[in-house]
Parts: sequence; C-alpha cells; structure tokens
Amino acid sequence: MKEDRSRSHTKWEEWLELSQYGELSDADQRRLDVHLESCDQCRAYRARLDEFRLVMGEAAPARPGAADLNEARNRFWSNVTLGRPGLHIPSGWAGRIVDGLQRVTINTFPSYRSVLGGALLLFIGLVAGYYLAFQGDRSIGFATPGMDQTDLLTNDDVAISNVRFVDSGAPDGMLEFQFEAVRPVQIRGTLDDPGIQRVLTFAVLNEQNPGVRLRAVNAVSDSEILHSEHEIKDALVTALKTDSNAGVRGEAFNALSRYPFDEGIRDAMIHTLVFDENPALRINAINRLQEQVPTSIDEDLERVLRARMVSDENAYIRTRARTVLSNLPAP
Amino acid sequence: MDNDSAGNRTDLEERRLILKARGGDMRALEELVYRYDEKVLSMAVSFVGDLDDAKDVYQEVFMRVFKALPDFEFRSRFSTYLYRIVTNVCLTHRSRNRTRRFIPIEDKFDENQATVTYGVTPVTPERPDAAVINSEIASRIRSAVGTLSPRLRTVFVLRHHEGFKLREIAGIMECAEGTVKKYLFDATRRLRSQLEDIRK
Repeated sequence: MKEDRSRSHTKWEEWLELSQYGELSDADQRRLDVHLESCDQCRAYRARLDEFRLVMGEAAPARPGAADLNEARNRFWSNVTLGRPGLHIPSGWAGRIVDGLQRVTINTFPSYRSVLGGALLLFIGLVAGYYLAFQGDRSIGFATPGMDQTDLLTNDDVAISNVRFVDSGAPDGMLEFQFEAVRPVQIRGTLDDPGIQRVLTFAVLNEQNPGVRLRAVNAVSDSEILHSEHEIKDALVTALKTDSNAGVRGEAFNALSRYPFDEGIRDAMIHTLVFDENPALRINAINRLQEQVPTSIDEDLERVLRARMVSDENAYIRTRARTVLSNLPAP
Repeated sequence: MDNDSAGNRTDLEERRLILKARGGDMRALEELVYRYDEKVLSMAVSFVGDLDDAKDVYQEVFMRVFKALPDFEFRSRFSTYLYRIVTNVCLTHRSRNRTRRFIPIEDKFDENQATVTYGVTPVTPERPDAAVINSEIASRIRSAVGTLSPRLRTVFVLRHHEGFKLREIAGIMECAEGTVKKYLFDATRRLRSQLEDIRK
C-alpha cells in the first residue's frame, strides 16, 4: 500500500493515542499501520506512549474489593431505611413541596440551606397554627355529637388548655375565648369491634411510646381469633417494615406468622430480610420464606436470596440463603 | 439478537425499575443500585484516590439519585445520568479536601517467583527499597493527575482508569466527542511532560 503523507505528524500522533485506546476505526487503523512502517518519528512516539501507559497502568488505584462494596451498600441502606428519616421520598402534594424545597436547598443553594429550612419551618408553623385554630372552633362540637357546649365544659373529665381571649372588652359584656378541650375516651370490646380495631391500628402506627406500640401489637398476636381485617394486618406489616423499635418489629413478625402466607406477608418478609438491621429478624424472615419456597419461589425472591447469600454480614443467613437456593426444584 | 435490540430491552427494563423505585418499591431501587454501584465505587476510587473518601462519595451519589429519582425525565440513559453525578460529586469532594490522601499501590503476590511486586519495580532481595521507590512514583503520578484541570482530569480518569469510550464520556460531560478527544490529548501531553523522567 502506498504511504499516506497527506497528514501532519500531530494528526498521526493523535491517531496513535486513539489507537492505543482502541478508538480508531478499522480503516483508520490500517492507514496508521501503513504509515508506521515507514515513519521512524511516529514509531518512536508510539514507544514513548507505550512506556507512558505502562507507568500509568502500574500506578493505577487499587480496585475496591467485595468487602468494601458491601460496607458501602450497608451504609447506604442504613441511611435510607434507618438513621436518616428526613431522606425518605415523601408522597402526596405536601411531600412533593417539602422534597422540592429540600432538593433546592441541597443542590442549588447549599449556602442558603439554613435560610430556606427556616422559611420552610415558618411556613409549616403558620399552616399548623391556622389548622389548630380552625379545629379549635369545631372541637367542642365533635367531642360528643349532640352534646351542648356547656355540658362539655361542665364535665370534670375535660382538660382545658391554651386559653386565648378573642374578645374580653365588648360593650355588651360578652366574652369570647378559644381553647383546647381534650376529653379521655374509654372503650371496651373485642378485636371484631371496628372501634377497637381503629384504636389499635392507630396505636401500632402512631403512638410515640414504644411500650404502647408493643402492647398494641401483643393485643393482636395474643388474641385467640385470627382477624382477617386488612387494616390490622396492614398495620402489622407496616410496623414490621418501619418501626424503629426491634421489639415492636419482632412482635409484629410473630403476629404476622399467624396469618396465611400471602403476597403482602411475603413482601414484608423480603423487606425484613433485605433491610432489617436485626439479624434475628432477618433469620426469622428467611426461615419463614424458606417454608414457602416449594410453592412460591419467583424471580424477586431468588434474586434477594442470591444477594443475601453473597452480601449478608451474618454467616448463618448467607448459609441459609445458599441452602434454600440449592434446594430449589429443577426448572 | 443484535446489540441495539438488546440495549433497547435493557433500557425498557431499566425504565420499569426506575418507575417502580419512584413508587417506593425498595427492591426495584436495590436492583437499580446494584446494577451500577460497583462501577460507581471504582470511579470514586479512581477520582479521589482514597477508599474511605470513595465510600463517602458512594453515599452522596446514591443519596442524590434516591432523592432526585422522582424528577428523572429519561432524557439520557440512567447510567449516563448516574456517572455524571459521580463525576460532579468526585470533583467537588476533592476540592473540599485540602489534604489529599492516596491509597497504596495494589500489592500482588506471585507464587511462582515468591516475591511481592509493587508497581513498576519488583521487590526482590536485591532491591528491598523498590516498594518505597514505587510508592513515591505512584504518589508523583497521582499528584500530576491532580494538577490537571477538572475537565482534563475527568476525561483522563474516565478513559484511562475506567475504560469509558470517548462517546460515553462525551455523554457524561455533555459535550462533543471531538472536545473530549482534545481534552484527552491535552491531558496526556501534560502528564507525559510532567512525568517524562520517571522511566529514564
């Protein structure tokens, strides 16, 4: 082939670099090879590039190992699911506003984070204040339907707080207040009672005190009747997935063990196996899943088990996942 | 099956995963993360040169992705979008750290020769100082890479250490492929100029 002298050496040198990175087309590579046969300068340049690549290659950073990757993964999932509650993706329009503001403060104006955070808190405070004031006007009426306001206020059980004068100097002698009136309510019934179910569900999901949450879950698990109401079961699933207290999660797990294995429970078990920081719960979850393997193995579960087999920090869980997978029926 | 249809299928599958992750499906998010996180950690090590820093970068990258996923508009491939975030976080991370730390050269044990080799010169009974020399060389090389401008450093690290194609780097940096080539030539020329005495 005839030598190609139509290009300057700078261009040939660029091609040599591209060639070393495998970025030349086949046709250009052939042109370069022909040129190299007759050009000492370019061959010398290629030798220098080879040496440079050798030196740079030898000094390349060490690749992170599987243990490093696992550590990073565990930290990330801990951040997402446990330690940083402000980082979850909110739902609904209010959540989107909060999330949007967070993103703006973090990504766009990092130095104004505090200012926007304060503005957000002020906004929330104003909305909450308005809401409470609005509720205050109605609270007397909804405490006991049909009850007169005077009846309510003369009841010794009602706790009055946060009294605020609206008008105390009217010429006609009328006084006007706003206040909060809270009245204890006691109900008695079985788990079949919708009112009881509602209170228990609320307690499981919203009570601040973990002892109360625990008792609420226990009330369900100790009951001799298996309750198929979705509300209670869903509350147990939510508690298992999200409660910050391992004892509550454990009791929720026990309560759910009494329910027939279905898709919701399967998802909760998988979630526990993947995300729960408590190894005892993860072990319980894999055992419960293992009981169902002959009938309900699917791609999701198989993928989770394979991941646990490799990456779970607990040796028993890794071994258990391997055992379950090895006992899978042939496809 | 040709590469295009395989790629399209992967894109579709990934799109489904992203949509599910947006809806709060943690397993979809997990799958999405596990598809790319090994590469993300590797890129972070190449950029910041320190394993602990790289793990911090990993956290920041995926937290950003986690929070921004609801707004991902599929205008680029997810991987391109992700690697762009990695690059930006790494560059910012380095500039935040005044003291740059480096990880040691990977040591390898050659059972046949019964010698441990570090970097460019084997450590033998005749050359017990080779490990120190190589460590200094590695430190010089990384310092030289650190002197490059962010653009040149990005192209060099992505191409040289991480093996990205120039076309992919152009996507990550949102510029033309010709521009990436120019950055790569500039980076190589500057580094060779700074390090030309190493092998002499």
